Amino acid sequence: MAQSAPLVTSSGERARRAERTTEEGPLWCRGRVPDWLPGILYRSPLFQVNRDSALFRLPTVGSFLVRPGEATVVDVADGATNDDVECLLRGPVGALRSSLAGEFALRGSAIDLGGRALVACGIASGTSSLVAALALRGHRVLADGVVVISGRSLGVSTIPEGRDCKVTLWPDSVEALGLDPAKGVSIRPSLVSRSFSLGLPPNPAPVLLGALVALEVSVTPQASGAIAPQPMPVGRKMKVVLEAQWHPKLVLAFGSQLEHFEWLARLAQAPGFDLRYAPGPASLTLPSLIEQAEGFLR
Amino acid sequence: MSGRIVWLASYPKSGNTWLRAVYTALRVGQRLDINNLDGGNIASSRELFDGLLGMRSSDLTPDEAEALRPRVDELAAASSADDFWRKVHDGLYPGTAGELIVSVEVTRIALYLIRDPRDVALSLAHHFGLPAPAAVEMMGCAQMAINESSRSLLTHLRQRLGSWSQHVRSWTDQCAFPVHVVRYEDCASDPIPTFREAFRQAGLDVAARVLEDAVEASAIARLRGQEQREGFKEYTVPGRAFFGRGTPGSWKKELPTALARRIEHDHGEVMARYGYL
Repeated sequence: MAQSAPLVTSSGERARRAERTTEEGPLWCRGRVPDWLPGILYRSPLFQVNRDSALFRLPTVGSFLVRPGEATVVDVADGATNDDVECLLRGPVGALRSSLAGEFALRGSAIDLGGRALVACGIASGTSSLVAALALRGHRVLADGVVVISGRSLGVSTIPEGRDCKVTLWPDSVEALGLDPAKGVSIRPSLVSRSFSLGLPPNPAPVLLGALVALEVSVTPQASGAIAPQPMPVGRKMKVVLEAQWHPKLVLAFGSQLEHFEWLARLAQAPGFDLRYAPGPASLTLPSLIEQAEGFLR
Repeated sequence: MSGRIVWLASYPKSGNTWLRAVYTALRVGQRLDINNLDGGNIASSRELFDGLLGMRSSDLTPDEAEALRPRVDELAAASSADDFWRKVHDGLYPGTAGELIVSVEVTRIALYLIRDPRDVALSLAHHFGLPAPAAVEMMGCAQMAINESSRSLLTHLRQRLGSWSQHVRSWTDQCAFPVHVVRYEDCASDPIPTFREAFRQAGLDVAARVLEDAVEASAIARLRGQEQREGFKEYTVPGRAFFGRGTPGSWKKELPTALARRIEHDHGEVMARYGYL
């Protein structure tokens, strides 16, 4: 990924030039963004979409205009930094781009275990920590945040904005994993979480889905460490997938119900597991739990 | 036409879960499952926020997330044809953008549960593993917030409590939407008329006999027993039980006199208003 020479902003902060690039071209650039899109198909408090573009707005960071095949145009809010912008590009804005491209994506993390992808879903349940722990054992991180699963092939990849494949971790997980906090990169100046490059270098090629795992903290009084994983019935798997899906309302807005149904039907056939563990990030680094996660794809 | 929200609002440890258990028992009776209580999508749920808004709350500052919470309420209401109940522990304060933490537009009413703060202090101390003096300090702190961590990504968003008195006043003195105050002690001493009136205010007419069965099915001792056998998913502090004895007036035997006097000094005006002094 080529980067232009750094600039010093008016506040004295060293920052990369706005146009962060990949081999496909710049990911984003600064510019004016309209308040409204014509022909809106769906509108939420944070974004609007029409047939071929999306407009995302978070007042404290800026407005983002997304069009397939083009760099995202960002009207950056006063006081927002390039890190603030790129954090949103790697998350909801990147997920909007994948929706516009007719793809379906999950909120979660994914790792390549011997040529097949393990996709971990859950909110504040340790998906990033699990993937980080696996990466430290020599596996390749595929995605952290926006996990794109191809409808036809069930190939797992990430969005272009997330192709540096860093893993975002909070201080307790950094400590539990034995990582050096200084090696982490700031996500946003106002957040304590940091991103880390772990495991094998990133490779943008999709990896076939091997299994889905839903992480959950166990509440049973006897819980300690990792509890034996439970195979996920199809109904439960569908619930997990639908709850983890980025921007599910856009399926109806774009009229892609048939493609979505086919995607769900293929996902239903992939192995799925519920993995429950005792509270605390240290549980997620337990060798027994990591070995169980690796074992899903044996 | 979308549903509206009936807020079950309270300072922590004031009987919110008990009220939800009674409400749920109206529907399921003896099959009451504490891990499947109605009203459980708490206002500060990160999962609900992320799922409805299409935004990872972990990418937001607490202030940014707070400013968006009324929009989450509106999205939740839009996806429900009927009124529904939701638990909330936040004080009813405006965020940085000046808007209240809950959406006024989609609120039907708030049922505000209040409990003798001297009993709350004891329960708080146990819940958080604090010495009683620290719990009393917590209740007197105007800047108090829970689920605000600089180390961990928690399953809840930040909830600003303020002091106990500020919390009570924020809900009961506001005029943005109706509020019905429910005293924990009345629920314990006179449950049928107390719960019946609360439910009536929320738009639910319940026959006394039906309510008797629901109250019996959700007795604190039953909830405690179920927690011991199965755990309670809304509470994950290892080694500590969520459901205590719940006996009103426990403070008289268990709270040091100096601490009781401190609470009365800090919160006397509100205590007197609601019959605690």
